[in-house]
Amino acid sequence: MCNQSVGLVQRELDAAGLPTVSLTLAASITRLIRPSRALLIEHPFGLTMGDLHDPERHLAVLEAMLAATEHIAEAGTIAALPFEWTKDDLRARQLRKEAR
Amino acid sequence: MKTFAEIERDFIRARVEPAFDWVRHDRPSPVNPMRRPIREATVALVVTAGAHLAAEQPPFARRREGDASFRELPGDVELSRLALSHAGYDTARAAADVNVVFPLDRLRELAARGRIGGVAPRQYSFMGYCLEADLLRDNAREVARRLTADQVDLALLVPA
Repeated sequence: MCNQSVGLVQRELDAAGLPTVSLTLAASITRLIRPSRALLIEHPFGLTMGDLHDPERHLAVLEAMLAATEHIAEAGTIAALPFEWTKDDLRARQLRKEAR
Repeated sequence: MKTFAEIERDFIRARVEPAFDWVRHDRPSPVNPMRRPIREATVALVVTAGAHLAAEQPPFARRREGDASFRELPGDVELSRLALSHAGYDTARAAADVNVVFPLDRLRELAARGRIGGVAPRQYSFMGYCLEADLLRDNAREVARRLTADQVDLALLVPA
């Protein structure tokens, strides 16, 4: 649901002329909303930037968002980021609606 | 195999709203070019983590239809002053390091080292669980007005 909400908010900022970049945890939802520029990150829901107290990962994700302003010019792009979640199966269980 | 969009849609239909479906747009919204280089840009975060000032602002409502409102947060706020209210994810986990859903400390670090021009004076949090798309759009337009008034050059949006 968060991913629809982010896309809807982003579309309004886009319409107002603001440059934007969003993250999405669920490309299948963002593909329906079609905001200007989105980056798929396969982290767990609620740990969007990475694990707790992992500032290096958080910064790397922010850097990827900044870089997207230079690399992505085509509206509606959803580009996959290379980050992986290897700590546990939390995201896999969330995608089956077995965990929050 | 079902997509996550289908799994989540069916979950919401079964538990909350039998007529629920995702919003669909045929056309993407436009990519707006940056008006200045990133190293000079004022950057704002717009998140859907359900963040609010614990002492001064009300939590987000836990209603069936969700909550389309937003909270404006000072750019210099200490993250320890924030609380998270959101039915859709484990806020207790994120509360131990709010940067995982609202990376404001990290944005400040980027500003301190000159990677971006600065952190916007006002940051924004919605709460992502919201079935009232039209109300959400109205509130997003108000956030867009405020970001424009603050001469924000780039908005970074983070779901939870």
